[in-house]
Amino acid sequence: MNPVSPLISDAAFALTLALLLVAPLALAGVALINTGLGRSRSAAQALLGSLAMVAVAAIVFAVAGCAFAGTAGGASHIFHLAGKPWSWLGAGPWFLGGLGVAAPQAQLALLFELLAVGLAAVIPWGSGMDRWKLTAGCAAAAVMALTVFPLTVHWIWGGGWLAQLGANFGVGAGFLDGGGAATVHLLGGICALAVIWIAGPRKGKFPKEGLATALPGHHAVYVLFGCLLALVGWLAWNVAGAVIFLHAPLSALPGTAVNTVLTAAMAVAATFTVTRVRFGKPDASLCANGWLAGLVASSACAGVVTPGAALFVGLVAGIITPLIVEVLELALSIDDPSGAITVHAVGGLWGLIAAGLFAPMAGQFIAQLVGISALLGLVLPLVYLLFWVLNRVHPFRVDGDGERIGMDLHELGGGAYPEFVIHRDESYR
Amino acid sequence: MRTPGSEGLPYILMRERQESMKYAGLLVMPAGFFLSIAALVLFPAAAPRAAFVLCGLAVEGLGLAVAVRGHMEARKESHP
Repeated sequence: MNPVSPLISDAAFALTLALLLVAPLALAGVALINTGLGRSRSAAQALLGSLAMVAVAAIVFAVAGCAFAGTAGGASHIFHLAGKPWSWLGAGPWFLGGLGVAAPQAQLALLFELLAVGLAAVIPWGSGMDRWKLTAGCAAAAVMALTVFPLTVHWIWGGGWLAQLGANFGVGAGFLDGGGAATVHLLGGICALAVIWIAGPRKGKFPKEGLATALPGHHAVYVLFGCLLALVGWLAWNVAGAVIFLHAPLSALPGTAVNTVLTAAMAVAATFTVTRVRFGKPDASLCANGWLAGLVASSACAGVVTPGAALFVGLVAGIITPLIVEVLELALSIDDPSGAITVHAVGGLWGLIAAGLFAPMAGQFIAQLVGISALLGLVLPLVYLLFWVLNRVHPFRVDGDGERIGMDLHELGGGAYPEFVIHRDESYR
Repeated sequence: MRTPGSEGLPYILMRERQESMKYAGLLVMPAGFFLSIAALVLFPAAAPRAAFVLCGLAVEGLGLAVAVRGHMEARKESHP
């Protein structure tokens, strides 16, 4: 990506601002999907948790995170290696200082990032459902919004070393991530993996003998309606990101929207077919995961590929999603109720690779691989370390009694469905 | 119920090996990242640069596999 922001026209500014006001629908969709994929006795805590994560992450990012994220062309911490500048951390003002007098492009970028940090924080919350304490989740969101999120945002969107790969090393146009496949989804998926490793599986998920116990989501309607909401938000997110971070002209934006829809559509069609062939009937929750994985993959590549390539990206995302969900649960003993690792981490990874494969710029594939390498090789261990320390200070996992009676009663004192009898969980017999 | 006390020294040693596997895997991953960075600096030509970056990613994949394996075995022991 070009680290220096060109001037943005008034029309593009107005359109992008309007799109960003719709973008939180993606967040609402993901929160609904997470809630529906959890159990009924934790539904209120799951949705309240999503709200709390967004709130905490936005506040922490506005207070301090935005300073570390910086803006393209703004002040940053730089070291020199092999005669090249490596901008590794932003040095902007705290408390969103100077927002009102910043360049229009920088204002839009900050708004985009403020919304993106909420989405990134909600992703691991879905993976820790039914066992992750609300306060611990908020603390993790705060840590994320203060450390790893601004770091990756600076590298990719804030004119950092990944954005400058093209200018410094002649590697394509630098690392491309218009819609947040890396900064939001891959990062969120990485955080989800760390949370799952640290908090452990839900009680009864992996019995000593036999296969993993199926703990199906409690509300397929939430999940599927969340998918539809997410589409609206994703369209806004990808198109706005194309304007802000890829500097796409207005004439290129319909193509970005078309690619977003095509990728998701092909992904859900592929997942529908795969689950139909494997299980005899299509699986609603896996189809939802496939749809979302297609959207996540489109975040990286919708602005830079052709519609034909978008269909291929969706096809691959839709085929691998149900297979990886199965491998993670059955072969690797990873208890991920919302499928965040598959959907957000693997979907994001595939989208970033596809952007490198199908983007017209020469050398783009290497730029994408270097960005992926930075996130997996540096950010994953860093996130694990931060969450490990946080878990020592404030344990993630609720006690056994809380898990037995459900997070709603244990943490909130009341259930999400007080007029309904919640059936007993068979795994506790 | 298997506990460290009831299983004795072999169990404790096994747990320690699993713990060290987790952290060893996570420590290997940054090495892969530095390989990728080295590729950018050392190789101006596209082919060797791509090959070196892929090697870095392979090292990261290896570290991730070891970390996953370490967590997996630990999980087996903590099944209810």
